[in-house]
This record gives sequence, C-alpha cells and structure tokens, in this order.
Amino acid sequence: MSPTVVVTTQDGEVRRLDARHGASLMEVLRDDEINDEIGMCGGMCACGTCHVYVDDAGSDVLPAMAEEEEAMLDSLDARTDRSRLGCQLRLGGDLQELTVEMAPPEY
Amino acid sequence: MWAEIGAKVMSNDAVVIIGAGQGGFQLAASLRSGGHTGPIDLVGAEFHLPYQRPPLSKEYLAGSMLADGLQLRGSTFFAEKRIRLHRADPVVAVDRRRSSVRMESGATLRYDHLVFATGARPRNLPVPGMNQRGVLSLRDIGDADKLAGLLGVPRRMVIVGGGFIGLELAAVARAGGHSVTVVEALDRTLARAVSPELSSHLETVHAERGTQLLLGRSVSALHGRSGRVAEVELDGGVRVPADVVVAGIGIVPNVELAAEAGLTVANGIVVDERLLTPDDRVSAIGDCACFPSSHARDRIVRLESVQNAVDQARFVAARILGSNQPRYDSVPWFWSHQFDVKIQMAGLPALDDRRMVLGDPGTGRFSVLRFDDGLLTCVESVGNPADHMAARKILGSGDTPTLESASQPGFTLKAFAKRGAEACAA
Repeated sequence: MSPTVVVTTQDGEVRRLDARHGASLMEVLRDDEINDEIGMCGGMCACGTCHVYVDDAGSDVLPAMAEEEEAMLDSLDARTDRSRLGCQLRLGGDLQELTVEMAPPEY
Repeated sequence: MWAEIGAKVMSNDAVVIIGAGQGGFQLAASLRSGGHTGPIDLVGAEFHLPYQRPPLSKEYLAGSMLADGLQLRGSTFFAEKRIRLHRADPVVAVDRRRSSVRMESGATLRYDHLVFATGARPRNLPVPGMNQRGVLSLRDIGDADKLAGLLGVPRRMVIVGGGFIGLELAAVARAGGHSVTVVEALDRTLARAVSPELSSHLETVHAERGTQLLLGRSVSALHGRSGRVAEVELDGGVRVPADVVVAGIGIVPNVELAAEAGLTVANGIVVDERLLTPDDRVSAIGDCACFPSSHARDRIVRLESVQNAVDQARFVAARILGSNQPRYDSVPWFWSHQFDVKIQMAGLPALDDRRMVLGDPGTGRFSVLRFDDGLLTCVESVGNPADHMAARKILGSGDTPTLESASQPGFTLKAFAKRGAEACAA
C-alpha cells in the first residue's frame, strides 16, 4: 500500500495522489505538477515554494520541525500555525496519509 | 501554426532544445504543462536522466543523498509527457537555413523553435601535470562519483579556486576529516561573486573549521609519481603535498555550436531581453546565455544559478506559447551551504557599490545590503531567510530602499517589504 496525499490546490481543486514510499511531499506535488514553481531549490529548504498548510499539523507522525525549516517558514508572509515545508515531510513509515492545502504564493 | 481552444492558445510548433540540464529540462516540462502540443526534442550529451547539480558539491558528495535524489524527474516522466529525450547523443551541428540540427548519431531534427541550453564546462587548470590521476574538476555526476570514491580514505586535498564550488567542496572534505588547502589567486575568496564582508565571514568560518586558505597565491605546476599527483607547486616554488587536486576555477559557457551556426557569442550566446538571438526562431537560456539584466541597469550578464536556468526556461516556454511579456526580469537569487552556514543572495551587485551590514556577523545571522547609485540592488544573507525572502520581494517590486533609509535605526527588510505590499494594496 503506498502512502496517500490529499491536496487542495491554489485553485481549490482537490487531488488524491499515491506517493512513492520515502518521497518527500514536495516531490509528490512537483511530480503531479501542482504548479510550475514548486521545488526550485531541489528540496534544500532554500526557496519556500513547497509551503503547505497541514490538516493535522500537530500530529506526532509528522517529522519534528528543524531549525532550518522554522527559519524559512518564519520568512513567509503566508505562514500560519499549520504551515510546513513539503520538502521536509517524507512519506512512508508512520506517515501513510497526509492532507494538505497549498499555501498562496509569496510573490 | 496556432489553434485557439477556449482561452488557451495551443501550438503545434516543433521545439528542439539543445542540452538536457536544468534549463533544458525545465523548458520541456513548462512547454507541456503550459499546453504545448507540438513535438519537443530534448537533446543531451550526458547519459544520465536530467539532474540537478547543486548537491554534487554538497549532499551527494557527502553521501547523504543518493543518485536518484539528483534526478529532476523519474524515467517515466518523459514518455508520459511525450518529451523525446535523447541521451548521450549531443547536437553536433546546427543548420539555421534548413532549420535543422544534426546529432552525434547522425540523426537530424527539424525545428520551428531552437533553444540553446548547452550550459558550461569547467575551465581547465592550465599548468603542467594537470592530466595526472587524482586531478579532477567537479561539474557532473561522473566527477562527483570519482571524487567521492577518492574520499573513502583520508586525503590531502588541494582545491584550486576559492569560489563557491571550491568552498562547498572544502566544507564537505573538512567535515569528512580530510586535510584541505584552498589556493585562491585573488586576495579574497568569492571575489567575483560576493562582498568583502561576506568573503571575510566565510574565510573566518573556514579557518575555524581547519580549512587552510592560501590567498593571493597561484598554482604553477602539479608534480606526481607514476602518473598520480603528489604535490602542488605554487608561485614562488613552495610545494604543498596533495593526493587529490580539484580545480574549481570557474566554468566556460558552451557557445561553440552557436558560433559555428553564425550566432553572436561573447561571454555566452548573446540574446536580448526576451532571451532571443537575432534569429527569431533561436533562443538561449541558462549558464550558456548572456543577456541584458533589468537588475543590473541592462548590463549584459551571464548568471550561473539554478534559479536563472529555471526562470529563463519558464519565460521562453511562455513566450513560445504566446505570452507577450516584454522582457525577462526575474529577480536573480542563489544559495550556498558551507558547513552549517546557509548563504542566500538576491539581486546583483553593481560593479562599484556601497554597502551596509544589517545584524552582527559574530552571531552568524546578518545581511549585507549593496546599493548602486543610492538604491538597493543586492542582499547577501547569512542564516537569515527572512531577510532573503524580503529582499526578493523588494527587488521584484521596483520599490527599493535607499542607503539612507536602510541606515535608520529599526529598519528591517521584512517591514520594508510589507510596507511596499500594503502600499500596492491600498
């Protein structure tokens, strides 16, 4: 059974995606062409384009937020307490299902 | 030929992309996702599927990323999107009269639009002994694999060139416990690319972590035993023992094919503000192209970054699909990681600029603001993504602070960016 991602795009469309075990949320969304911008820095926590709002942001199956991610999120105007960077969320293991919304673009 | 369906314009034109790196790949992907229906041929010299280069001097070299982490898409992407990817079959000739290209295999392709995304190749170290074993450049996966293999045992590495590649490599090698000496001909590292303040900060970090930096020195020869390098001889005759030598002295744009096709080349294939050559069916993007930048007062620049390759690819895709955006004007930005130091840069410095520092370099969190003729044009940030993201917004908005206003107590880039956004919304 592959992990599943349910994502609401910036246009309000809801997509249900099968993820490769071990893929990051950014890679899953990028491969589904969620938009043309995502993943510019290749998943290095350097560009902010994979900004998502996570449904169950406090869930403990999500990897803890490292300082680098916190610093990057802090720089984004659209940040809320449900914000995470998709490149830092790897699917598989305990994380089998993830429901997110794409955050609005920064620019 | 154009067919209009609803609000979307679809094109059946044949697009041939010379070069399957970051820029070439992005152009193909953006054309398809933008609705292009005609043939797309993506022609590359390398056998690997299109991949990203930044991790080659960082995570991939250090062993914390595997080869499939480099790939920009999986192998099924290209067939699914009807992008004809030609691997290890470079274009060897372009015939603009016949609107066709010929590849190494002898196959030919016709084009309605031709885009050069040929990138650049490492500059060779022009000294005796450069062809010995243990002497490498670092540009492609093969180089990184060879280097990673050599770093399996403790090494004495000499890196020639104190640019971004040299310093990133030095950081990986030091973290791996190797002995590292960086030889830089100019009086500071990153002299072409960053402010003296940032050079100084990074040199301090490197020195603290044990990188030996030799500034204002150059290499005159490489000496070896049995065809393998053993010593680096510097100007003045001093010899530094080395069993691995990496040349990181810059890259040279691959312009030869374009020149042979009668296109103008200088420091790159010359294109205008829409990334077009004087032949309106031929464009160039990425590391191989030089263009007038609205972020440098129309000075002709050639930018070496992922952002430049990707954004130029997206612009040309949109242009081919019918966009009449008058010029390419994306804000240039760039990142580098060395040890645990995160450097992010936005904009371009003027050749003769004035600078101020926001924050305290001693804390590891600060930015250098660079002004041209009184207005902000470039921000270098260390450990400060908030400053970097604000700078990108500010530089993209055209409403930039002066040196005077940035010098006021309490000034922050974040507040300035927000103020600008609120003014627009008002």
